[in-house]
Amino acid sequence: MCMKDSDHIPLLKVKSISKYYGRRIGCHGIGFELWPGEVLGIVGESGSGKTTLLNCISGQLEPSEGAVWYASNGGVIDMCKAPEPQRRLVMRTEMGTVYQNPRDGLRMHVSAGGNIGERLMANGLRHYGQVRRKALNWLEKVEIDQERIDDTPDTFSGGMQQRLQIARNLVTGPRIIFMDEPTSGLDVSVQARLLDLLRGLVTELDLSMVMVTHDLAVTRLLAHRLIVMKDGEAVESGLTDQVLDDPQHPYTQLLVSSILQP
Amino acid sequence: MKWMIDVDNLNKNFFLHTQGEAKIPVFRDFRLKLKHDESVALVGPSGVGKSTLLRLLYGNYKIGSGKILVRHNGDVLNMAGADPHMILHIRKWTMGYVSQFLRVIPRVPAIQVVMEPLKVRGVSEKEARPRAEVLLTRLRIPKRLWSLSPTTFSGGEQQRINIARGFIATYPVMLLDEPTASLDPVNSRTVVEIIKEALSQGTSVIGIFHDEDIRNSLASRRVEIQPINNHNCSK
Ligand SMILES: Nc1ncnc2c1ncn2[C@@H]1O[C@H](COP(=O)(O)OP(=O)(O)OP(=O)(O)O)[C@@H](O)[C@H]1O
Ligand SMILES: [Mg+2]
Repeated sequence: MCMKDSDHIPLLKVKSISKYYGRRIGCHGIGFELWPGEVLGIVGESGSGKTTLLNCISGQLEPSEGAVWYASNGGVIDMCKAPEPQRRLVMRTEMGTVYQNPRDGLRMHVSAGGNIGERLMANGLRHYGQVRRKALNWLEKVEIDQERIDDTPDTFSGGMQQRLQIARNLVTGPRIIFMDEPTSGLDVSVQARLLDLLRGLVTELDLSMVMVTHDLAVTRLLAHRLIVMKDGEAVESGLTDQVLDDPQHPYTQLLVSSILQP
Repeated sequence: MKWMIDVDNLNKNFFLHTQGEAKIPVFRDFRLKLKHDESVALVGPSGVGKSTLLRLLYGNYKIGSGKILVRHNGDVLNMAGADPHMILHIRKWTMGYVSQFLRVIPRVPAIQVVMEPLKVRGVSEKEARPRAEVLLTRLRIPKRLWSLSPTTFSGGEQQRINIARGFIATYPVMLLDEPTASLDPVNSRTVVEIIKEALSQGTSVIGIFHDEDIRNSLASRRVEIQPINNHNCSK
C-alpha cells in the first residue's frame, strides 16, 4: 500500500502567538500545528481576531509575542525572526495568499495572463512562451475561459477574480495557502463552485491551507481542523467534526446551534 | 488474544450551555475490550449511549475522562487528548465507521463519495473506481445514479452508499451504527454478507444492530450498556 503520508514533521508550528494593537488585543496566546495536506479553518464573529491571526502566521504582520516555525524546503525557519530576504523568498516561492478583496491580491490593470505569470517570472522563469503556456493551463484549471487571457481582471466577475487569485497563487506550486474569507462576497452558486474547485485542488496538489471564514458549512466541507475565536482568544480547537458535533465551549455551542445543519 | 481497543474508565457528560446548563451524563466508569477477531454487539435501550460510544471511539465526540486505547500501526494510542492529525491517521488506516445516516456533501457524485477512503490512502482513481463499481453493483445502486450527488437519493440508497464507502477499504476495526436500519430484506442480506466477509478477513467489529437475527448472526458477544442513574449525579 502506498503511504502518502509525507508527514513526519508539521509544516507549520505556531507557538503562542499574540498581537497587540496598542492596548487592544488582536489575538492572544494562540498555538497549533499544521501538517502537510491539512486544511485549518479559523472561525468566529467579526472582530474576534481571525484576520490578525492569519496575517501573523502568513508573515504579513509581525506578532507581538510568539513564534511561527515553518518547515521550508530549505529547513525549519522562524518566520518572525528570519532575515527579511529569506522570509520574502519563502513567502514568494512556498506560500500563497488569497485575499477577501480581489483588489488586494490582483493587479487590476494587468492582463489575467500577466497576473498569473508575474510570480513565475519573479521566481526566475524568463521564457515568454513557457510563462504563457503555464498561464493558459492554470486558467483552464480554475475554469476561466482561456480566451480571456489578455483581458484585465477588472472586466471579470467577482467569482472569476477569486479564481484568478487562486491561479496566480498556485502557479508556482506553493505548499501552503492562506485565505481570508475567499467566498464571502460571492453569490451562493458562485461560492459553491469556488469551494468545489478548492476542494479538488487541495487533494490533487496535497496543499496545506489556513482559511478564515465565518461560515461553518464551509469548514465542514474543507477543513480538517478548526480554531474557534472569540475576543482574540481561541476558545476551542480540534478536529472539525468533533468541534461541530460535540462543541464544548458555550460560544461554540451558540455558533453551531444558530445555523441549520452545519 | 491481543486486544484492538481498550476502553478504560470512560466518562462522558454532555453540557448544554445554551439550554440552561443542562447536564446529560451518558457514561460513568465504562469499560470495554475489543479483542482481535471479535465482533461485539452493543445493546441497551434507546438513548442509553450506544451511538455515543461509537462516536467517542471514532474521535467524533470528545472524551470526558478515562482512556480509549487503540492499536494503530503497531503502537498503542490514546484517543483521549489525541491531536487531530493523529485521529485522522487512525481513521485513515485503522478504524472505519459506518454512521446511521450518510452525511452528503453537495455536488460530489456517489461514486466519488465511495472512492474517497481509498483515495486518501493514496490509491489512484484508476484502481479505486473498479472497486467502487463492484460494491455499488452488489448493493444494487442503479448505474445511472453513480455520477449523481446522493443529496437527492432515498434513505435506503444513501445508506447503501454509506456502506459501500465504509467497506471499500479494509480496516482492522470497524464501527457500525445500525448499518441495515433503512434497508429492505434483500439489501440487508447483502450488507450482512459484506460484514461477514470483513470479519473473515480479520476485521474486528463493534456494532449496533437493532435486528435480533442480524445481531445473532454477526456478533460473537453482546455488551449491555446500562443507563446511568441520574439521581446520583450532582450538577
Ligand atoms: N452531540 C450531542 N450533544 C448533546 N447530547 C447528545 C449528543 N449526542 C447524544 N446525546 C445524548 O446522549 C444520550 C445517548 O444518545 P445516543 O444517541 O448515544 O443513544 P443510543 O443508545 O444510540 O439510542 P438509539 O438506540 O435511540 O439510537 C442521549 O440522551 C442523547 O440525547
Ligand atoms: Mg443510536
